[in-house]
Amino acid sequence: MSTASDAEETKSEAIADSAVRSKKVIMITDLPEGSQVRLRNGQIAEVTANPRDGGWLFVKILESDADPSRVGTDDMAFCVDVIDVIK
Amino acid sequence: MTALVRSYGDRSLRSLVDLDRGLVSREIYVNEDIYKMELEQVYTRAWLFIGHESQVPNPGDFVVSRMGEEEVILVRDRKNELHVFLNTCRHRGMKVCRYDDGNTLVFTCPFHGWSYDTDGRLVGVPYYDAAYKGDMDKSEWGLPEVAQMCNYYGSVWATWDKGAPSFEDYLGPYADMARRVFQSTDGEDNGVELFNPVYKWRIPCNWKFPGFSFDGDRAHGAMTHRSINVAAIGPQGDANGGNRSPLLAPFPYTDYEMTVPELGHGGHNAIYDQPGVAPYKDTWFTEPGIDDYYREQREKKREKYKDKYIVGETAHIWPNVNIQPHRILIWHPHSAGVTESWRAYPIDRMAPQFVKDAQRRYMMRYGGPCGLTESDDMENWNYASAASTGTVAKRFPYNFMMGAGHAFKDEEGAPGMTLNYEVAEENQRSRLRRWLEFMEAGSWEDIYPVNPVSPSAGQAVKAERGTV
Amino acid sequence: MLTESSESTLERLLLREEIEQFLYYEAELLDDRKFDDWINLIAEDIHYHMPIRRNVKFGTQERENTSSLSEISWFDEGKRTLAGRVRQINTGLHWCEEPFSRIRHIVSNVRILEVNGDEVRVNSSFFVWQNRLQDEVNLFVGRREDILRRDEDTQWKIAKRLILLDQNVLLAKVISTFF
Ligand code: FES
Ligand SMILES: [Fe+2]
Repeated sequence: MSTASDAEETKSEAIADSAVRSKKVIMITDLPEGSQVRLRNGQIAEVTANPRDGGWLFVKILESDADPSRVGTDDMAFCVDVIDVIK
Repeated sequence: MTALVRSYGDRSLRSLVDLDRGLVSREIYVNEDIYKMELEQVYTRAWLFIGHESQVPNPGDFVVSRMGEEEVILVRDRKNELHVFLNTCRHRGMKVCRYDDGNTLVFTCPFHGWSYDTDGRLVGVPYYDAAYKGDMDKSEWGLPEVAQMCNYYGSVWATWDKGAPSFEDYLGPYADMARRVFQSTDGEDNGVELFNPVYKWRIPCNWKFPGFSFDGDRAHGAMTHRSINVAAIGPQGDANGGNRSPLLAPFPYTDYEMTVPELGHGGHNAIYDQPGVAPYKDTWFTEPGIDDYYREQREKKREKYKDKYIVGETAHIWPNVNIQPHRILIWHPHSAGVTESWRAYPIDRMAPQFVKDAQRRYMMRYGGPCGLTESDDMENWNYASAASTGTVAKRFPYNFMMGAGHAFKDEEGAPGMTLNYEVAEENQRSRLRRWLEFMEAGSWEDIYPVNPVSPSAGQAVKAERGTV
Repeated sequence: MLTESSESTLERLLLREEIEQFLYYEAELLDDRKFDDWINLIAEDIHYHMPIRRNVKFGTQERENTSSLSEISWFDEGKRTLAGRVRQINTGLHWCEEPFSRIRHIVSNVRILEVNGDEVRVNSSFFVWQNRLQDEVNLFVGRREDILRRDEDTQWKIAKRLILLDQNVLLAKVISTFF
């Protein structure tokens, strides 16, 4: 039986989901070093280290059309910003 | 402070602790308000034992530890520097580390995902660009780090107070003794490592019961540990009536209760009548080969220190830790009536495996909550605490009179120390004296440099030193 | 008529019955404070080991229980020390068990894993209740992994015992009983 608070929770989760526009859940925990991922902002990045915390990847930016100065820089990618594993 | 004095009518803290007469109100061991003050006045100021560098040998290694009631993380960052951080996320407080130990690249909070580098910097914040829009400067939101940390010959200590003196000054005349505890048995600095992990268990008593009495209460042994010798758990087994302590070579010394009342440290320490180190006496009758190792080590140490007068080998470092060559005892406050007791066991880093094994097994059967010796201490601390909370019980002060007024100085034998007969309560009075100073102090400026304490006028006599 | 396989089923059930009865008997000796009889069930070469249980990261569970080879455990000893514990309790001066606590060992989930000659590998779960003086209560829950060895004298002797206590920080001030 669903209650008012269940409904509220579901609704707020839906809002959070749409806010980040998640389509599918990509589990990043086991992504090895050297994997390439597509990020939500359009960048392509290579995994340089994986802390295996399920939340973050250490990455190097390989392609960044919107801001080419980012290419070659180190960054961290948050799990929901990883929208695809391309290699 | 004021609030407390008010809530006790005219009974100030000072009136609860009468060190000249050796009378101490039970209130300070049971009262919730006093306990809460201790967390602030004592535990955010004093230098506290955190752990040992051997627990985190590689970059990214971490182990959780504790300062007062609060959990901290001892971590070696990727540049090989040690840090001590409070284990709490700056966003909404979640523990950023819920493992006992391990190796990690970052501490990532499981609540909303803030992520901290091993050097404490906040490096990952979800939705940082999109949601904070540059309003938050990540560099201001790193993990809370201790104000001062000291790697003292491999042992790690820390304080939350910028105004605290250096750790070496904090130790004062005990600096040398504390240094020796972290030497291997051949007298080499930084010579030990800790066995993993640390014992942790809860005792239903105020932290000051064990914290202020351990190594300050020789009188308890005869009765508390009456049953231990029948178990013959010591290295020599059944020899000497099953005595649990290692045997000592004849070497002219006298044991004292020795303390620095100005600083609160103290222990049971020997003053030797001649320079050098006593020869080794075989004691490991239960396991072959162990004596050979320790004898060889001792000979090296004897060679190193043959011209040096050495005073003592153990120390209680105020407020809540006792360091000895083979065990470190820590009593963390957990609540007014509960102590979380920790034990760590140092061992010669370079010792052969069979020596490490023998020493480890001896320590496991000796101490901790399953050790045959120390289990009886817990029972006494537990029910002494329980029987002190009553309204009527609290009208009767504890008796700390043993040896009060009979302390003396021996600047030649033990510079800076105050001495008393080996069974006295001098150390406990010292710890209580320093406790009172910390509890009343507005800041470190009020308690350091220290106010000199001299043994009660007229009573100071140099005792005749005997030979054991 | 018994077929070959039902004969072995019967054997298996009888063995389980025998092992269970032995474990219950052992528990009863402890609960009845018949420590001298209990220590008589312990093989001379026993390894009695209760590791500390760590909180470790997923994927490193092999580090969860401390190793008897190099690390600190709650108990890691042989018969010599166990017998010393019995002698200590029997002095009547071992204050953490004087007066005796009321202790009850509930043993369950008994499972025989392997029969190897005269030795049997058997797992069991325990729930130990301790009530001390008036109102002190300690609970110890966990699993034992035993090797029991056939013995002429006592039917079985305990040759190896691994005790997995389901606690991290020990919530009791001491462990004054056996498992
Ligand atoms: S509490 Fe840590 S990220 Fe929110
Ligand atoms: Fe003791």
